[in-house]
Amino acid sequence: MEIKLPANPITRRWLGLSPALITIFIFMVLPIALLGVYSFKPADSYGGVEAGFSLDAWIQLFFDRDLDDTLIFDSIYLQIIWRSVMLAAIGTTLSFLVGFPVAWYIVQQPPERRDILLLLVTIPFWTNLLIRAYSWILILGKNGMIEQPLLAMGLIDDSLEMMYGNMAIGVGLVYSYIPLMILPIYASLEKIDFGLVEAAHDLYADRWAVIQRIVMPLCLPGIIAGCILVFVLSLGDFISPSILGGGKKMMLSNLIQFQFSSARNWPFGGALTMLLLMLVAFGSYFYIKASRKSAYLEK
Amino acid sequence: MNKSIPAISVNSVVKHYASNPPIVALNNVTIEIQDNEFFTLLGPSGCGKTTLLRLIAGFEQPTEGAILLYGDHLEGLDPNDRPVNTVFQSYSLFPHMTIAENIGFGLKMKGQSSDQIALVVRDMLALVKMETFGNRMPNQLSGGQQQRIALVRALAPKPKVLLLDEPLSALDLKLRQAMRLELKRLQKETGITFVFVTHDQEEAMCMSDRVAVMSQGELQQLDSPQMIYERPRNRFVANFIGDVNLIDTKVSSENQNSYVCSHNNIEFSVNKTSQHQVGDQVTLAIRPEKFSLVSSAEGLLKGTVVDSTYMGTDTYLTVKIDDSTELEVRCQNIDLDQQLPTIGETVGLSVPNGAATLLED
Amino acid sequence: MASNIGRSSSNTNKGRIPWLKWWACIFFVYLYGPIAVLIAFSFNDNRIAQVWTEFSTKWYVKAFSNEAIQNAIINSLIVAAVATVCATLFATMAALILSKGMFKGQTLCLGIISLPLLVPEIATAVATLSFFAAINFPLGLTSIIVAHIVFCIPFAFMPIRARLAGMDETLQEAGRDLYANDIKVLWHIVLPQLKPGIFAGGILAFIISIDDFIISLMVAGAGATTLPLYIYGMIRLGVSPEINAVSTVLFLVSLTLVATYWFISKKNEGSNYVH
Ligand SMILES: Nc1ncnc2c1ncn2[C@@H]1O[C@H](COP(=O)(O)OP(=O)(O)OP(=O)(O)O)[C@@H](O)[C@H]1O
Ligand SMILES: [Mg+2]
Repeated sequence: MEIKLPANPITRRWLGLSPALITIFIFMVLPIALLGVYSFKPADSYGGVEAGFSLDAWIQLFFDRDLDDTLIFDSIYLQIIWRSVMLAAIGTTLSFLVGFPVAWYIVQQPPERRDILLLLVTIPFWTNLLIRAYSWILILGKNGMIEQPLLAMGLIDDSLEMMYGNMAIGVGLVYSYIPLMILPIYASLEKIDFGLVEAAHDLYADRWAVIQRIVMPLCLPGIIAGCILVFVLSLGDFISPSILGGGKKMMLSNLIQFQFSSARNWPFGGALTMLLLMLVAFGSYFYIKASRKSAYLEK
Repeated sequence: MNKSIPAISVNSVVKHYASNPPIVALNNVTIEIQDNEFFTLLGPSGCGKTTLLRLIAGFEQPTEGAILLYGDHLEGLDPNDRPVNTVFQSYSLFPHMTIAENIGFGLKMKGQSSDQIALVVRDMLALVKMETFGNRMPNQLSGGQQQRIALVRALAPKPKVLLLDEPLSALDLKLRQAMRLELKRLQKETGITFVFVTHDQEEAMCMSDRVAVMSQGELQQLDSPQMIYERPRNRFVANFIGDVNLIDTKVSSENQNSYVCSHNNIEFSVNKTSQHQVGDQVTLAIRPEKFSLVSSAEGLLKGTVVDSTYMGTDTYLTVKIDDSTELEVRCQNIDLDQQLPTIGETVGLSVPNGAATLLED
Repeated sequence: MASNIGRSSSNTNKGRIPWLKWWACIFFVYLYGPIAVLIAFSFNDNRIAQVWTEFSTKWYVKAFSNEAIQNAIINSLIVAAVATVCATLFATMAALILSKGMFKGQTLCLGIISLPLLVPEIATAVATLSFFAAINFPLGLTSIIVAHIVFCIPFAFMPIRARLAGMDETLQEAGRDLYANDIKVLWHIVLPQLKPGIFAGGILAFIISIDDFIISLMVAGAGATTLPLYIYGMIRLGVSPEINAVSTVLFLVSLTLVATYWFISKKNEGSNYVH
């Protein structure tokens, strides 16, 4: 028997694409749409939703319902959202400040060393985030690698309480996602014609001016890509706040997860998820716009 | 500026590139470039021209020796601290800046006010007749236009010396010829010392005040274009610039200012441009156009035409004067009726006094 | 070719900043220090994880003789293996279609396939959970596998597509010219050349699946604990040497896989000598 591919190119196309597309559509697009619908339904206190229409979930984002049903402005959730955005922004900024010089350093190395350094940057990205976050407990925690010597030398006599706060979460975010800052920046730095750097040098630009006026503008697409990747991933990060923040300092994703576990408020969880997706979509849109604008820099 | 101090002195410079074994890019090069001179470095690919330029600009450090700019040591100065600018072969215009911003970049880095910069940019654009291009981006310019901008960008900060690394090599022939004249004009107008790198001998001949011929990291000859052509010092220079006939001879006698060299009983009288003993084997160089055709009875040399090629302006004849020696002879095609010898014919060749040059090697 | 003065050379002083080297050194210490500490303490004899007493492998023995951990490892391997095979198969099929010519809706298809990369994991996790609940899909290993297939597809897709993009189309034409029909061209010409890409894609999918935590957390039913879920549970109980040991092993597995992936794709680059 001879197996034949369908002759009709359209049939063949759909045959080839459908497993991937249908899987993603059914188990990702549809569920997200469903969650969007859920956010406009009344909550069922055993989890799930009830029939009908309700704006409660969205109202709950901003207001608290008083006993007599009047709405009082309540910023507790906004605070968590704000903290998520701020932590993500700070994490992104720190990643950039730390990562850019590293990318610049790697680009200047001879090719073989470059490859090895890039591999070293890449490896953590592909290793378990949980483990990576956990390893910081050994460093920052009570009796950890930082406190132990300080205690032994008598420089401090009590725990520094570095864990379970915004600082620890920030460290975790930078640690988790900095490879995604360095790699795109490296990729666009690598494309820069080094002749331009020498030309600027020749025209009386010192090192700082070269970086500021030539290198940075030319690798802007990479910087934007890196910043948005790190920001978006930090914003939705679950592991750092739950492991290093000890679950006390919540971020958006902990709040979402909480709604689907202990709190059993699916509509509110749905609304929060939609909000997160909107923030991410906004970030991606900004990225696409910015990269179009700088397209002329590509050779 | 004091005329007696050279613009650039390259003193016994050696440059090695790290490698195993080290690459010797420059080997003990000493050159003095005068103020206000159009100076050309000429040599085949890989002879170290770019290396020398990069040493002057400060992108590389000499392994040994020193480079002085108007008497001042340049050692330890970064490129941005040297009053020297470079026109890069690939132009290296900053793609994210307008033409005006590109031209003004050097002045801006030197801390000039934006008013001053605007004036200079306008003058510079006028200098290359591109007044209306200030607001364009580099990728909106043709190759020749980019070339001009690269040139005035390097001129704008009024460097003491302008370095040009094969700036014309990316242009087509017509544009290249036009740019040669333009470069020469700009050099005269600005009075800036130009150090021009090329591997094109024609380019070197037509623009330069003096030419340094290099080979394998060593300086072969430094002279005016005319002297380089007429009095090449050694085989390399004679061969590299133009076509040449090399004749093996022996020094048969010596006068105060000249030697008599003989080849199969044919005697040439040549100037003493290098020291030899009577009896030494020496090589003479004679350019193909120096010969004139005479009847076979007359003339210093006698031979058989073995090949003839019509080349438009000239006809190239190959004349065999003995079993080991064939000479190339060039006859200008003056008119159609001209009678040139045909293949197999025996001809006589006369050589004017002083046409032959004694080579060192 | 004429070399050019603007070309970079590795031994000049160009944009070099002296402190940059130290900065990079400190960065790599920061990147690997915590993991190194973790690995070191996994060989520590002391029960109190952060106080070094002497070298010992007893926590490895202890951890891996723990039945719950064994089950978690088996679950993780089953999930990763099934998800990798399905995702790689789907991704290969899609890549073969999407790399050929242009058609209407191509960008949309690419967008859908890369969607799992763009959507934050927590959003995928809760959405999948509510969907499974809505269709009464029982939570267990199967639900984890299905969810993993979804986000493994784009990771498998990327290297395969990159490999296809670098492939010489004339070989397929030559095959067709030599009387091979479509399926024979696919089998004898395209797939053999695509093998490194498929392998690389499979490795990425496997790494992503075996490391996944958040989505598994939400869609795992009771009894379907994967290794990261088990580790998470242990971490919540506090620092312990068993976590260090299990984590070290998981880290080394990822490390090996990444290194393999890296060498495959390096070799790919080398063999793409077309043009
Ligand atoms: N950065 C470098 N590292 C190692 N060797 C180099 C480097 N730059 C140049 N070289 C070597 O030094 C020698 C001189 O090179 P240079 O670029 O100065 O030649 P050039 O005369 O400019 O040639 P071209 O006409 O091809 O531009 C060559 O053998 C070259 O291979
Ligand atoms: Mg050169």
